[in-house]
Amino acid sequence: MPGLTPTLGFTLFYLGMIVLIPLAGVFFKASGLGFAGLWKVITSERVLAALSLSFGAAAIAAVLNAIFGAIVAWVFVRYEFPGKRLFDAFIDLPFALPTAVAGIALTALYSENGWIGSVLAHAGIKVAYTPLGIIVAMTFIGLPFVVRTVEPVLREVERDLEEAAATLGARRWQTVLRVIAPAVFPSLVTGFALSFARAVGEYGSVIFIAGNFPMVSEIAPLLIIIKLEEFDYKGATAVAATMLVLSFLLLLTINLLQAWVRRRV
Amino acid sequence: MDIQIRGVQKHYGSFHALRGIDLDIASGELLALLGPSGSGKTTLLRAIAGLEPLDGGQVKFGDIDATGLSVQERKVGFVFQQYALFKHMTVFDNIAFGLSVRPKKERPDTATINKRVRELLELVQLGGLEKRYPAQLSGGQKQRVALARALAIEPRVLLLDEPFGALDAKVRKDLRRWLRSLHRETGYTTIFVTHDQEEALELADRVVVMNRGVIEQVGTTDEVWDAPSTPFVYDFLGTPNVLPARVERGALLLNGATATLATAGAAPEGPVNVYTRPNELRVVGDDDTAALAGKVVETQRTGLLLRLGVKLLSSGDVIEIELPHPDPAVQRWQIGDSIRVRPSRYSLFPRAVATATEESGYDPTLTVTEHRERSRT
Repeated sequence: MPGLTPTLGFTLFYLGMIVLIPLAGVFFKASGLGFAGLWKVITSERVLAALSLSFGAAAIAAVLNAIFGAIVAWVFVRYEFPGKRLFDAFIDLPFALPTAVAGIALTALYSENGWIGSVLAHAGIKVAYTPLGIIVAMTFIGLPFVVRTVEPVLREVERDLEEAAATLGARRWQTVLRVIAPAVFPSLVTGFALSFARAVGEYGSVIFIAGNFPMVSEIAPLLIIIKLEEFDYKGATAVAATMLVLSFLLLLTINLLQAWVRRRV
Repeated sequence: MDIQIRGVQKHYGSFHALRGIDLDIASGELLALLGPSGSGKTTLLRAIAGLEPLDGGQVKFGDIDATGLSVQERKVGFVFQQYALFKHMTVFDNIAFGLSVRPKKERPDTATINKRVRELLELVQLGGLEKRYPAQLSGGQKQRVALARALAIEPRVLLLDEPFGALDAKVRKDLRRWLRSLHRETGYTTIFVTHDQEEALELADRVVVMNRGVIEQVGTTDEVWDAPSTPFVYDFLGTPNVLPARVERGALLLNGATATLATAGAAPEGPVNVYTRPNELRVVGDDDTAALAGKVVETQRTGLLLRLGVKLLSSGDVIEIELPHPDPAVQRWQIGDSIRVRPSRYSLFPRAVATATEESGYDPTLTVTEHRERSRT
């Protein structure tokens, strides 16, 4: 193949400079602690709490986004309504908005004297400065990932398929369950993975609404910052390396799952 | 099962897709709906299947009035142009789909479904491919899976939308022959849509020629070829020569009385168009007073035919003639030669003085699908 050497060379150089070398740096720095030291840092109560909060909240947010993102995508593909283009643009806002702005806006809304927060407070639900608030912020920033990955695939599902199912006697729910859902499922998994990955790494919009109480609402990326501010560079990179490995393993699993689903499509 | 269609009407917005269709289809018949795009043939097929709600009229399957029945209740086998196979299911699961979605008490047990699918696979000559996915099949194989899937529900009628449209010429020919023999074997009342006249005429017992939402002619292959009942049918089945003429007191005056032909039956008095096909014109000698005189302006050999362009002396119009070639009786025509021709067969249609203007809302640049999409939104 002509041009393979320069293009492959460039790709590897680029990937190395931008992604691999910085990541390797993280592991190199963290390895300065030695295995025992590393283990001590990541099994400390505060780090474990932060990691499980980050990954747990991100997982819940991604599930919520997968469900509601799929519904939003369905509505955009299948229905015409006034203002559709405007709503369509709104979906992308979380992509474009500076995360700090989103964080401040959400905090203002969900705090106990905010518009939504005050209503929820009557019901005894506290959102801001709790893990629930973190989930809200993560859901907010993750929604477009699901909508934008599912939408084009759903658009591709031909009406023919639904009509074919109907002529064969399938009732509507059978068509949705057995014909449409399997066609859309791989893209939904992709959307879930993207939304999840974004939520795990999210910092700006979360820290405002989280309240950041250690052991309760302190996310792992914030803990890294705290350790950096305490000049505990090795501790910070230890947490970072752990997040990296966990994220990588999760995305790998999702990709394998997807490859397995795709092979059957 | 026989089908009766009465006064079927369909609009897409302001586009009148079906304008009062009446049609009777005999049980076990193989019928073609033939017409150009936008003629309403696919809409009619979809209306029979219940995929298009009607604005008026009635569809009956035997004694059952199907007009109010849902798509599911109609039990029609529908084969889509692009096959519409379920990509995530194997060939087996595709064919079994119609049986497996039945309500529990009507659903056959697994062994019966297995047996039925295997029979169908044999019928469509795809035995051994049941574990494949649609992506692993050729176009012709996909088409046959789609057919087997439609037959699995033991449909009342079999409806095929452009069944060979997406296939290449060779496969198309084979499948056509195969479909014909399948129809003989199974005896399902079958309707298929096509814009390919050759396909319609070769395959079907009867052909329904449609144009702009109405039926122009229904008949056997011979009938529509030998006696086209409208100018449209003439035009659609080949490229006829159209000669302006007059009928006066039962006699046909062609080209300002230069030629007189006996009129075939009761012809309308007044201005008419004479429709005659290129192969229906004969070269005649100077003694034939009813002949049209002209000059050869074009010669073209295509296979076993010689095509001549002839410019008529009287009107200056250029008509086309087809002669068998090589033919010892035929002289070698050169451009500029004088020639006299006479139609051996022809039909007369009254000439409209002014053509009707396009009806409002009809945008000829839109396909029917686009009209359908538009009216949905």
